[in-house]
Amino acid sequence: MWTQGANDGQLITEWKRGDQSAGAELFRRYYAPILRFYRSKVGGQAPDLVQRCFLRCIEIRPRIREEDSFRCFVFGVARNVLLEHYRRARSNARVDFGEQTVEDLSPTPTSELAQEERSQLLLQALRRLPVDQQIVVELYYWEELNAREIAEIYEVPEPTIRTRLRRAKLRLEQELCGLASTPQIARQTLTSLDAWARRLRDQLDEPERP
Amino acid sequence: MTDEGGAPRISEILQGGKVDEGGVHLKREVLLAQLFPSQVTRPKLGRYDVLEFVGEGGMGTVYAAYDPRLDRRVAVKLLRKASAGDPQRHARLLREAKALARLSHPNIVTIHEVWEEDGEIHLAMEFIQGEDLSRWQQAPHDWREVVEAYRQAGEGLAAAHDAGLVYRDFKPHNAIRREEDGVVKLLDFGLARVAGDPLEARTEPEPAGVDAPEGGEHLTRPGAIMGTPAYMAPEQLEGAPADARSDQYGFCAALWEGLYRQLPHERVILGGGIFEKEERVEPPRDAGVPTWVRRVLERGLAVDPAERYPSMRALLRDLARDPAQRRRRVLGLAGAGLTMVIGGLAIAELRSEPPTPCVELSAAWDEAQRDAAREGVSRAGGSAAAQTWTLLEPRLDRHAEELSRIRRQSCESHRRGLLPDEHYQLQVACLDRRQAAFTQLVELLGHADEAAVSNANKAITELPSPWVCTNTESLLAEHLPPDDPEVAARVGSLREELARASAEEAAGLYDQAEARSDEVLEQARTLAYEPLQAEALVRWGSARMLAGEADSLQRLDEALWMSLASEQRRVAAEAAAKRIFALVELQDRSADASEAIALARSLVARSGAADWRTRWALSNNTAVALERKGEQSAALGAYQEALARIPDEEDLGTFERAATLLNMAPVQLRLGQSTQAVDSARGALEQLDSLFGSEHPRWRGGKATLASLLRKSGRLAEAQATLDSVLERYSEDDPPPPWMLLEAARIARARDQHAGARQWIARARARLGEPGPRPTVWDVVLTAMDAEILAAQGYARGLDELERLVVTVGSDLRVDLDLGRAEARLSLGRAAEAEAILHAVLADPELTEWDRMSAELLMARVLVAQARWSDAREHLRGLVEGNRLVPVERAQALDALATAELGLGLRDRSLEHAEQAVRALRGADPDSDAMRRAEATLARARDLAPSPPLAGP
Repeated sequence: MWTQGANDGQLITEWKRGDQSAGAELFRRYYAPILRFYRSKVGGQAPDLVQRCFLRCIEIRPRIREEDSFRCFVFGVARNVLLEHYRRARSNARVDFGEQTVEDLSPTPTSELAQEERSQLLLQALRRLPVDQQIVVELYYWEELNAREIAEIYEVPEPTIRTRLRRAKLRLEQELCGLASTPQIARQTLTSLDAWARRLRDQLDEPERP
Repeated sequence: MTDEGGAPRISEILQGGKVDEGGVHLKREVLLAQLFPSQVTRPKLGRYDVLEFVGEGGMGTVYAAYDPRLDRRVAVKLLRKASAGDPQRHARLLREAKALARLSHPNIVTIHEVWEEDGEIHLAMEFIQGEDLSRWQQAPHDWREVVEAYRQAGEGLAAAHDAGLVYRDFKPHNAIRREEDGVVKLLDFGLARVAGDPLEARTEPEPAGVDAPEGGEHLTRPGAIMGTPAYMAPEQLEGAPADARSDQYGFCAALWEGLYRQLPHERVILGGGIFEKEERVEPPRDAGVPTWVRRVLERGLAVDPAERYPSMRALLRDLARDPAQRRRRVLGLAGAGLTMVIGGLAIAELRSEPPTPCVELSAAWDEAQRDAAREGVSRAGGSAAAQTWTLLEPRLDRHAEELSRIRRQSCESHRRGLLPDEHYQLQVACLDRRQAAFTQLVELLGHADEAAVSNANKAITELPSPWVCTNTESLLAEHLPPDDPEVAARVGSLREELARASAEEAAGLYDQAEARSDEVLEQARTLAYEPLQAEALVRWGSARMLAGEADSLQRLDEALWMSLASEQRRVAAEAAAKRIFALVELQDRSADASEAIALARSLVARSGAADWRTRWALSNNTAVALERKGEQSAALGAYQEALARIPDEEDLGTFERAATLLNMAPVQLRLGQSTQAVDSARGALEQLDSLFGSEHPRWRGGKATLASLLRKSGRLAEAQATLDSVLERYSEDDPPPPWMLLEAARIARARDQHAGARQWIARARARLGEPGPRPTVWDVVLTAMDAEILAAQGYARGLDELERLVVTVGSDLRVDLDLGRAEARLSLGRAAEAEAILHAVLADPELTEWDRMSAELLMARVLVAQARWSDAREHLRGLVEGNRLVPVERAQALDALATAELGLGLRDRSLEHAEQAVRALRGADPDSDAMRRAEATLARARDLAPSPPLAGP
């Protein structure tokens, strides 16, 4: 049995031991982050992708090791499911997720996702990043995963992730400038983004986040 | 909001108030309930159990739900909280929704209920399985089909117009064509105009400055992102209020597209979203659409509303006026394309994922378990191991496969809302029990348990099929779990324990099954939950009964009363059917059987869902009771009834069929039906072969039983050949059981092969080892037989050993011993001594009917030997009138009777009985001792009898 305060590792142990309620609790914890992850990329189809992602996790449950971070595991699966989704949507075409952007792949009106014009701008800018850059940025800032954890998801060396983060930030700034419709909105957005970007830079320079 | 502190977090920005926490919570719980159905309760919206998230769009979110009160599926829509900050608008929206709920038309999706919860407006709507017209018309259809589909949508529009409502946003997306019958219904009627302000949310092009088209863009390009205004009337695009004629335009544009597979117009939208103009596009010539249809549509598509039809009804009338043929319905024509589940919202484009498969399937049978089981069988299966495994593996596979299939099926039905939560939980609990029993059996095999391996093929076919779990009705009738969830969970796991006990019982591990049921009984008493106590008692009693313990009757009685008290008809029926056997076979109380049978019959008849095994057990045990009471014909009838109760399905009931056939054969034998008896035994052998294989002890035992039946029919050569074929399968390491050796001795003796018979007796003795201080039944039977054979050869030396046994033998074996002593003396011509012994035997008031019969027959022969015809005749008349004798015994009795009657000068009678004796041996070896004797008596009777009259009767 597990208690409310159980950490992910304990839940994994119980779940693998056959306690379905521990499994349910794990997915309960990660529903909102994973929904957020998909929402910025596929809009209204997000709940369906969350479902597919969770199913995949359950299918490959035996491969989760208790010492693994469930957070990294589930985001790794989420990314694979997303890429599959894009590939399927494009049927046979080869998709390069280092180049293609979410906007190319999943044209959803940003107004469906965010109301404020400023938020829409930021989101739109994010969606114009190559898929993998967008994911890296979001995992880092929203999910507060550190570069090492992201590297684990991508199965690449940590410095690669740092480089991607840096590039993503530059591209994001460019996109935002190109998108701003009125000088006022552009200024507002850039101001808040600046704070965000400053944070980005600071964090990037730190080797490890607490 | 320009300072850093006011800067919203990115995550908040992206959630942007549109993804409210409540919505996420609900979606999350819905998904968790799908993924972990037995752990997570389905969330509720109002009184509805939410089954599945269906889709999300500008208007709100739609869920598939189940209405437990009316036992039907509904779609529940939560209108987006767009009006949250605007109480007036919220009130208007609610009013509109309630007005819609009153609108009832076959071509408009019915709104069952409108309510508010947490400030959100909820609508419960008719659930429709089908696809929207936009998807439907992607596949090619005959123009008449398309017109018919739209005609129905048009009827819906007309009905709404009659009620003073305007749709404003008609498009193929908003009409659903029901899969089962092709009925088309409109969705989302009227809400669009109050809810999302369509001119803002749906027709506005992308944010100004973003992708601003240079010099205008064709908004009708395929895949346009925003709610496309393609079907909207020009006056609406110019900002004028919509009316019924705007709907007419939209209707015609949609139908046009359905027929010609392209829109009727091209529109130019300037930067900033200003509608400039539209141009009619010439439809393809080869579309096959009649010109008159096109004329109707062109009128409806007139730019000036005044030039259109005065009403939808007028348009529909013209559309129905097919000059070539009358309108005909095209209901039921299969539409190609994906079938989607759609509820109240055009969600087709949102729902790109397949529905959740059911995943809560535990692995019942994996490679490791299979390997362990195979290993266990090969270690404990003896010479039959390979064959046992060959037969067993596919059965285990099938059972495991069935388990997971039923699990999937049940989960699937639950997911689709066809199975209410309560029923699903019962099914899951039932499947868990089936799983527990299966796992138990597999584990026993893995431990190389000898009994389990030997019985494995019987046990696996005896485990109740997982199919029983799909019969919710019977689950509801028997297994209502207690209300307290904690007690219910406890009861659930104890029931799994009982399922394990029944697997042990089926595998012949009666002690283990008993101990486990006893443990469950203790726990059930602590819980004070009577139904479970009854279930545990019947399991305990059943295992004990199969172990041959007489006191099992008390357990079964207790189980019976308790199950009657807790109204568990199936348990009561099982207990009642089984106690007949315990009563008759284990307590020798055949006399009390009638009442027990009557009780069991009424209980089985009342428990409609009684397992066929219980019905079989009732008939079979009834037959056993009748047989013991000497009512052979009735017993045969009951055995035939038992056979009829076994379902004719693959290897279901194979063991039961074999058991009943083997029980039935001696009855047929006693009724003089030797051929049928042998056929029954052969039938049983076939069953045993398919169940266990011919290397299995049970099959060999069955074959030896056939040999015994042949011997009792006087077919001695056949009997010997049959038994030889069994005996040669044994080896030094794997010797035959003593009773088979005894049978071999009996056959040899019947064929006058004295030396051979004595060799078999010696082998049997060697197999049994040194005799202990108290003689066993084997010691008595083998010693007696040896003495008889010696006596038949004129040697008295066998008697000494028999007499020594008199001192040490227990009272239970005394009759067997005395019959042997008498028989040997008769053979030696010491009839008077034999008579004295038999006299004492027959004087015992406790003597069973069967022993009495044997004693009477022997006594009659003793009396005949002394030429005491009258006395002999007294003893024999009852015997030949009854039907306890097998053919050779009957022939012996009839022969003795004929001889006595001859002695008494009753020639007619004698002739009659001598003829009967020969007839009883029909099919027997002509050179057998019995046959020779019968024919000799017949010849004597014929010699002495007067010639038969010349004229017939």
